[in-house]
Amino acid sequence: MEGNVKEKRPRFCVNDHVDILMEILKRLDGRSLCVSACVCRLWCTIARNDSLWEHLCFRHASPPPSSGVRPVIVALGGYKRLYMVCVRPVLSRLGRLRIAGDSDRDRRVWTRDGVQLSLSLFCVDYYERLGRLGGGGDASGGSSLMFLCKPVNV
Amino acid sequence: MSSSAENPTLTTEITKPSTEIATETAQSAKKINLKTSDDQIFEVEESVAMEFATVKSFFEDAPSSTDTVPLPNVPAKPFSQVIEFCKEQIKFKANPDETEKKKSNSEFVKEKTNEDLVEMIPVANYLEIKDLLDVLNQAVADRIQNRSVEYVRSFFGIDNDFTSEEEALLREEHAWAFEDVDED
Repeated sequence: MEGNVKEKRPRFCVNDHVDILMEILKRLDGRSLCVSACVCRLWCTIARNDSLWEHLCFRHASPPPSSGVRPVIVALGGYKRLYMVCVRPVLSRLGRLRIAGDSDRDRRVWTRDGVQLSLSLFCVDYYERLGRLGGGGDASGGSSLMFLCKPVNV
Repeated sequence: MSSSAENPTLTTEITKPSTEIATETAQSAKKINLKTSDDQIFEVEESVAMEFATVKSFFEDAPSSTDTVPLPNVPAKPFSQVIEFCKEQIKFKANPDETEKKKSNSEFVKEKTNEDLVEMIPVANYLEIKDLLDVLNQAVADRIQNRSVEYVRSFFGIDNDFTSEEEALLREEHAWAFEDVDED
């Protein structure tokens, strides 16, 4: 007891309220969600929860994709992968294109076309991984979707 | 001028809702006593107390059974800030204005310390004030966004329970996320 004297009252511990913690993490961007995964074991487990990534992938989408795409995305590798491989690079590219005058990043809205594009890219990513798993293709191995991350001269 | 013809209709339009508001406040002037976990008693207007779903259902289950409602999980300090928030919210109930509401919410959050925000969360949760919980969760998320792992840990008072090998592996896996985080 004596050791706890300096703590006058029990401080609220967010780790005792997983539902609240989920609500907070749901409001972070992908980068901060990855930082969160390194906070402690509990946060690490929660930050791997695909429902958080599902929310993150399409929270800017209007209208959001129908629930029918969920099984497809899960089968192709899940929402975290979708975010990392397709949504994030596309979003950051769009962000670079409209730096001027766009201070509010969260206002960015994805149309149905944006969603369709990211899903198509995800299919490409899956197809390439299939090829690599089968031992086919060249040994250099890099995903052709890397063009999303690097500037391309056309 | 045409403006003189418009004036009478304008004034009647303004006076009508304002009398409604006046009667509403007169009805809800009844006070309710709420006792916090550290034995402080808050006298709160009924309209404010009814914002707390937990208190509301207390009265629905046992109408006029007691003068003082005990709130065993609620300390006085965060509670006084929660009351401050709810008083503001009630103004927008009578007169909904989303932009003004957002402005008022962000003002409320801006002047609070990290500790204030974190301590209000369990109170808002216990009293089931959904709007406030949303505002707090967003405010906390905004404050840990783009921050380092160490900052987030000290923000919530969370102990690192990884071994150093585990943490090194995780940081490697998420290396891209650690570029350009804000200074602590």
